[in-house]
Amino acid sequence: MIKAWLIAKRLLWQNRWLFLLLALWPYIMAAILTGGGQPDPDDVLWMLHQECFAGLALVAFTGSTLLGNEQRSRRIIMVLGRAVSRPQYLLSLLITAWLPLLLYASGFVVSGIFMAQSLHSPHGGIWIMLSAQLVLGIWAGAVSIFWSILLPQLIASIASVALLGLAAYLGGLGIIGPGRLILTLFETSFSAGTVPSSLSIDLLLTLVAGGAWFAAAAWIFNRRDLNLSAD
Amino acid sequence: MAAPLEFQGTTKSFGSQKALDNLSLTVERGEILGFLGPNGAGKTTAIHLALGFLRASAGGGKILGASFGHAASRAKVGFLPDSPAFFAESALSAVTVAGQLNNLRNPQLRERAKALLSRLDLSSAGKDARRFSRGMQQRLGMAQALVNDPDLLILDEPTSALDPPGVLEVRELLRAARDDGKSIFFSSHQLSEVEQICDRIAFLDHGRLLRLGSLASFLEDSGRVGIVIQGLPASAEIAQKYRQYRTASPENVLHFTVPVRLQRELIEQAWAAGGTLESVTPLRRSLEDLFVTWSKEADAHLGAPS
Repeated sequence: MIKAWLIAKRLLWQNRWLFLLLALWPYIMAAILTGGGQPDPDDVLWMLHQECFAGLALVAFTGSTLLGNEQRSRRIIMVLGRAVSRPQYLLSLLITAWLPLLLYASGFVVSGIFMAQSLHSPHGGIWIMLSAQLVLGIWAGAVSIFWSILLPQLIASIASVALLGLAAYLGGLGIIGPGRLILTLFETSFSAGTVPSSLSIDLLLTLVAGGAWFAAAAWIFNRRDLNLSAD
Repeated sequence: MAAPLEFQGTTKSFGSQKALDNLSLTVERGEILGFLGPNGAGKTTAIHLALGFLRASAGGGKILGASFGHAASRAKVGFLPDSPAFFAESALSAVTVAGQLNNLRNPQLRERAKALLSRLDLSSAGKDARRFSRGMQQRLGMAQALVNDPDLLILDEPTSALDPPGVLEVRELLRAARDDGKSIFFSSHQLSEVEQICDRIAFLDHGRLLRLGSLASFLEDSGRVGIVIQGLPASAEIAQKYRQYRTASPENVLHFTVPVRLQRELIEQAWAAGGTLESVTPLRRSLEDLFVTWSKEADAHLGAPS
């Protein structure tokens, strides 16, 4: 875990300006919505859901591009030439893809609470959205890293976002886990007072699903050549 | 005790093309083995297989007693790639993290990193290793490779971007490492470098190991002598007999460049013909000559590279 963190720290620092800019997004949207007086509650809800989707897309996009970037720059061999296993390396990519979501989600919470208060509304639903978003972020990160091992970056990004959509569709059919959690995320209002009874099990199942995707990614990555131009 | 690095019939194919063909090679403890070959010979592929970046199509090998690709065994390996790449961090941070990834911990690590940077003239390097010159990056990569006090050093073109003082420093570091009993496997196009520090060389072309042995034996095997005879005209019998070994020469002086085995025979015949021996100069072919000759031979036997 320490090695994964050492690598992730450097990858995060490398992309710090992009991540910081994205972290500002919820504040910018809140400022736009509340700038003209009291916002419409439907607009606020739509905005929060849109931010949730953007957060997951951020993880999926980052996760699906990191491996390709590191292989192209050949920094990966400076890391894997040391006593670092491939699963440890993938874990560092997952941390790098997920941690910016934490920063982004903190902006989501602060700006969400601010907008709810400007509407004199309760904001219990924001915490539900936060927990769903963070756990789904782990799952989306694992999925995108899985695809990035098999596919070129752009296609891996598309495949990852498509899988988010597929999961939501399956959730609509009543399949528990990540799919139902995505539905919960997008059906929860910021003013929700009660926690859905299925939330805990779906959070747990999503974590398990994320772990399974990550294990599959590590298994495949362990058996593949790095994509380096050889002499 | 097992050899630090051993290729055991290692083959690597990319599609239908064999980048490495049944390579069997052992790097012994405490030796510097130079890995030579033209571009595309398979040198980097072999190094990448040893470090587990690539998976062998057939065969395999051992690195410090573990199969290729075993992460924990790399803790005692120092690796420098041909083009080192870095994160946005200082030289000290880059060397320190290389040690940490090899299971070393502070505070000794920091002191060792500083000492290496000082020795490699990087103490006052800037804050972002990505912006260093290529020579500085190569020295920084060398510091990273040495920070864990490795038993085995694998270096891909370690001096290609260095200025003469940098080359000297790296050469001293490598000699000191060998004297400490460390094994060094390094590929290079800097043949003078290889000639100066390697105990043995392996010559690879078209993915096949074509020559393996001590450098001295190769240079001696290809030894020739230059012989100058005075007092014999160009029409003399000896001049005709050995005309394929003659080089341009003034009148009544014969210049020959002959293999060592013909030296005695030619001198005796020159004396018998009434000539005077002016000089005998042992010539040694350089590694550069050998490299070119071997490459041509390989092209002739194995087919020119596509």
